[in-house]
Amino acid sequence: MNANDRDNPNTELEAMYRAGRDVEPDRGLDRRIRARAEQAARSRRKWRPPVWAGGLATASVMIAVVTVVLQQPDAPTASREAAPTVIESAGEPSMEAEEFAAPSPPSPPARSAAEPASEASAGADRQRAMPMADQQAISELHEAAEPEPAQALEAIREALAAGRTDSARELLKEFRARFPEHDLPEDLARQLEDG
Amino acid sequence: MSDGRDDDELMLTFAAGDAGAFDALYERYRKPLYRYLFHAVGDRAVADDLYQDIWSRIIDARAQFRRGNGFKRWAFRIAHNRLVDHWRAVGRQPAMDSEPTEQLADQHSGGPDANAERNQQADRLRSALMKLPAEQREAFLLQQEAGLTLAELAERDGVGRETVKSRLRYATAKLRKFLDPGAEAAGE
Repeated sequence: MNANDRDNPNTELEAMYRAGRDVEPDRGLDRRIRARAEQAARSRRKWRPPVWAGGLATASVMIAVVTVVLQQPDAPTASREAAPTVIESAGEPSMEAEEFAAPSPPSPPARSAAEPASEASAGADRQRAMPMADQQAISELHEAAEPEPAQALEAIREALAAGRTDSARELLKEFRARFPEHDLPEDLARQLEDG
Repeated sequence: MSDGRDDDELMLTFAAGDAGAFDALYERYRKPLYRYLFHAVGDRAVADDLYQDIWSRIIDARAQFRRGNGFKRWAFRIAHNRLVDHWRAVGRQPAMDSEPTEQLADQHSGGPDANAERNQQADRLRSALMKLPAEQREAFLLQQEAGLTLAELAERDGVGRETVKSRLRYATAKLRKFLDPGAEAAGE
C-alpha cells in the first residue's frame, strides 16, 4: 500500500483489529466450496468444444429433422429420394445403411456437447418463455467474446420499460453471472427488488 | 500450501481446468474474505451464506477473468456487490444494532489470560464496527482486509479521494469513541 494513501493514522485500531483476526470459515464450508471448484474444473476439462462441433451438431439436427419428416405416413416421395440412406437406417436396414451407420453415429460428440447444456437446462427453460428480443439479448451476451456490462444493463432497462419484469429478472441473473464485479445501478436495483 | 504463482495466474490456470490452482488461491483468500464479510454483517450464519455465494460467483465467472483484473480487487468487488444485495434484501440497511460478540462466544476457548484479554478486545472492536454506518465500516474493512488504497476505494465507490479519506477519519474517530478506555476501565 502506498504510504501517501495511508495518511489516516489508525495504527492503534489496526493493531487491535489484527489482534482479533481469528475468524475463519469452518472446514465444512471450505470443503463445499472446494468441491464446487473441483467440479467446475472437471467440467471445463471434459468439455472443450472442438471447432467442428458446431457443424456436426447442425448436421445431426438436419438428419434428425429429415428422419422425422420422412417417418410421417404422407411424406412426399421426393423427400425420400433426397435422403435414401436415412430412410433405410430409420426403417429397413440394409448393407449400405449398416456400413454408413457404424462410423458416423453423431451421438457421442453431440452428447459431450450437450452436457453443459443440460446444466443450464433450467435456465434455458425459463429463457424459452421470454420474448424473442430478451432471448436474443441473453444469446448476444453468451456469444460476445468480450461482452459489455452496458449492453446487458441496456437490455434490462428495455425489458423493464416494456413492463417485462420476469424477463428483466432473467437478464439480471445473466448480468450477475457474467459481471459479478460490476455494480447494479441503484435505479435498476430498486425497480427489480421493489417489483 | 505455498504456490509461487501470482493471484491472476492462479485464477487463469483454474479457469483452464486446474482445480489445484483454485486451492492455492482459496487458501490465500479464505480468511480475508470471510473476515470482511463477518465484520460487515456481524452474524456467522449470514456470513457463511454470503461467503459461499461469493465463491460460487467467483467460480462461475472464472471464464470472464482477465489477467490484469487483479484477483484481490476483483474478488472483494464481488463480495462488496453481494453485500450490497444483501443489505437491499434485508431492508436497505445493515443491522446497526446487532451484537456480533455473542455469535463468536463459543469460538473462543478461553485459554490463558492474555488470550482472553485479546479476545475481549477483539469482540469490543467487532461490536464497535457494527455501530458504524455501512459506508464507513466497509471503507475500514476493505482497507484492512483487501489492502485497498484511498485511490482504489474512491474509484470503487465512484467518489472522490477526499470523501473516502473523510469516511475513514469518521470511522476511526467513532471506533475510538466506542472503544473509549473509560468505558473499559472495569476490565483492566
